[in-house]
Amino acid sequence: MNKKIVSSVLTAAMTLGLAAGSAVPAMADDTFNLKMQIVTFGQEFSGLEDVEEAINAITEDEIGVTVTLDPIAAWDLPSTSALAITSNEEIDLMCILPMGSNMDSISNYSTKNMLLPLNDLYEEYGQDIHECLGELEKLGYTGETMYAVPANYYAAHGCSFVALTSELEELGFSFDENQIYTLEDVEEVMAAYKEAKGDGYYSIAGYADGDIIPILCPTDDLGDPAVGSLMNGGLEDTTVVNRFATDEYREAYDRVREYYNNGYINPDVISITDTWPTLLQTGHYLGAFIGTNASGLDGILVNEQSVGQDLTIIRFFEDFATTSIASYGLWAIPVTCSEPEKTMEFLNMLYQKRDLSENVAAILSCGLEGETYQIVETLDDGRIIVDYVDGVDRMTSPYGGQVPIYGDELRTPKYTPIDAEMFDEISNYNNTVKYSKAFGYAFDATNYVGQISAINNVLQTYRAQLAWGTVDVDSVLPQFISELEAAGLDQIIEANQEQLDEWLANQE
Amino acid sequence: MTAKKKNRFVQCLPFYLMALPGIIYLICNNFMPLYGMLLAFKRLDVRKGIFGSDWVGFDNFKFLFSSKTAFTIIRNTILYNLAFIILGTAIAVALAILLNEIRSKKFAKFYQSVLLIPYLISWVLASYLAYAFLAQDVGLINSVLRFFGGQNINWYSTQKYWPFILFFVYMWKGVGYMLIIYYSSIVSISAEYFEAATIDGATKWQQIKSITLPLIKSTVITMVILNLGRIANSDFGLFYQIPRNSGALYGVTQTIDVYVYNALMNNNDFAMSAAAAVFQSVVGFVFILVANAVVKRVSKQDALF
Repeated sequence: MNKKIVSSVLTAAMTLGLAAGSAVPAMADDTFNLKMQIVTFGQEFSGLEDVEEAINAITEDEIGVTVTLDPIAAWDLPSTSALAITSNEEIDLMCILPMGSNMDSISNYSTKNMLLPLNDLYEEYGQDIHECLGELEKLGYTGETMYAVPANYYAAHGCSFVALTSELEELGFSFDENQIYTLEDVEEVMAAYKEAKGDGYYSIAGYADGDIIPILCPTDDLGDPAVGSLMNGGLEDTTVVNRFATDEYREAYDRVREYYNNGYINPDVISITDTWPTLLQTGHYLGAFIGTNASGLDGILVNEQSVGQDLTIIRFFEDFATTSIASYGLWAIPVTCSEPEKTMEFLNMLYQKRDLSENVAAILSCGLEGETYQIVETLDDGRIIVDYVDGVDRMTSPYGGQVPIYGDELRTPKYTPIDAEMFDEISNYNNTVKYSKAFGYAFDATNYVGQISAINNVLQTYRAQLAWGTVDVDSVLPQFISELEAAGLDQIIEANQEQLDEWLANQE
Repeated sequence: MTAKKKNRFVQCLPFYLMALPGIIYLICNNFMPLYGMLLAFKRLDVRKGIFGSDWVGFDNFKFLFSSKTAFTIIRNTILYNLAFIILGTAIAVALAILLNEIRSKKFAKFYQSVLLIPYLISWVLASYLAYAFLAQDVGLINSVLRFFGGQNINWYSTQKYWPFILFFVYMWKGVGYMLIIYYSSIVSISAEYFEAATIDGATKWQQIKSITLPLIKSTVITMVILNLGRIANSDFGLFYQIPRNSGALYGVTQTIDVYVYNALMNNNDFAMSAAAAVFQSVVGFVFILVANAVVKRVSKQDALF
């Protein structure tokens, strides 16, 4: 009996001890710990804690915030965020990452009531964001409600053919990267390459997911490729049309069919899953059709690194901005956030013009001086050009922003070989491009989710075949268009036009 | 009477206890998430939670049936599964019988391992293996065709070959695993039957027909009914990876799972995915009931319930 009593007393003591040990002492001051998502390409950062500490050293005194960074791979982001918010996990600042190609969108979350409306918070704490963003600010709105704050990044892209410089030189061609050429000029090069190289070599590095028609025939897709679009980049007309049924698209399809018949495109194209930089590495291809600034003016440099050779850009359409192209990374405050005011205050800091020593955006996107980067050049207004510290590169760095989403990304440090002149070009880029008339508008698809899913399936079925010219346009295109109509595209276009007209009226 | 019942319960108690971990697992894993089916009939609003969200009736099911694709995907799913269940089972049973006839233990083990290896390969790898055969430019089959003066076949955009390719790949990958159960029930048949039959002068074929097949019948029926329960589900890896998601082949390769993936990949709509899953479960449930009723009529002792 005695033993039993002793043992239960001991057990009780142990339980109490454990409880006492695990209880975290409550924070004396009212510092808010902000949990923020950061985006990776799958690697783990050994320097994450140092980065957090460096940020806290700035933010704790200034606005009473400390951060916990939550690294998530870019491709996991939509499902991770949706699951976390549904199961009521705390996230204070979440990233929505459409990457200029509709990979994700505000409506994915807002239709499930996952995001806080930011209008009031933005007015009170977002002054610096407002000054920094300009036109880009519109991207965060759905109707009158602001759900997200976009990163300040390239709003536009140009349509171009990028080719291996060495092959162009061999063929005796040279192009000025700042001039606008025509598709015929590009076709001349492709023909010359095919003739010189023969079988097994292809002028266009094509792959299943790389639809080139939007490059050959630029449109504004109004936030979703399945809801109708404005032709010619939306620069002139605001009539919503089924772009697949237009003469322009017909001509583009015929053009690509001809490329295919001429042997410019690998006959295996619709089962190739490698992307164009990988294909160019094989030495069997000349170049690829891409939206030049899809990953920034500096994107070409990154691609040159991964291809391992110099690339020449041949532009054939001026740089233009649409909602989809400009939506790269956006920051939203989900309903699980416990202190929205402080979170907005923190977000605002990322858009301020600050000295390097207290620049949170610079730390988030490049890490710490001496540990992850070294300064190569400091410009007059404090912007810096940097390089990785010795022995470390993009993938092995203990911390790297990787994805340009941290506030004012047109001013955060840039890596060599970007020089001062190019950095100025980058910082000014959004003031020099043309904007679609519907820039900032996105179709509210809430009541059409079923049709859009059906349309997406039709697009999946036909897009690659037609876009790479592997099938006869005359027989397949009418079938494609009739299936799109059967899936309900016409109704959506009608609704889209109505919403757009209302939006345009409100803009004035 | 009650005393007797109670007595029996007490007797069986140890067995119930033994089953307890399994039962708890079933409850946690299979029964508790059932409330998620509610989601299929609601428009999810995370601030209200699953129970509090607004009812929308069958709205979430619309995307499955809103185009003419609906017929294609349901037909593909069910026909492929029927082929897999009927032909697949026949092939697996045949292989199991053949395997059992191999006298050398070493060789029997060797063959079984060889048959099982593809099952352990991931679908992505399998897709590249298939690609090595079927690629237009450098693929093995087209190279052979060209060598003999034939024309290239564009495999990834010609629909008519794919029912056979998919069936072949499915069998190649799965048969080693399927035959394990049949093989083990054949092995457990008492050798005395066969000895007696041999003495009576029965040929091998007669032995298989009159001893092996009748004795593994109930195993086969059980497996078939269980498989029928999943008739509206499909192996996503097979139908998505092997055709390399080529749109030109959708007419014969797209199943409900692949359609749901393609349609909802971009918008993470839990409610609509839940609707698709509910639809698949209901179809599977109906098939189980019907199949069981049929079996009950034909041979009562083999029915599941």
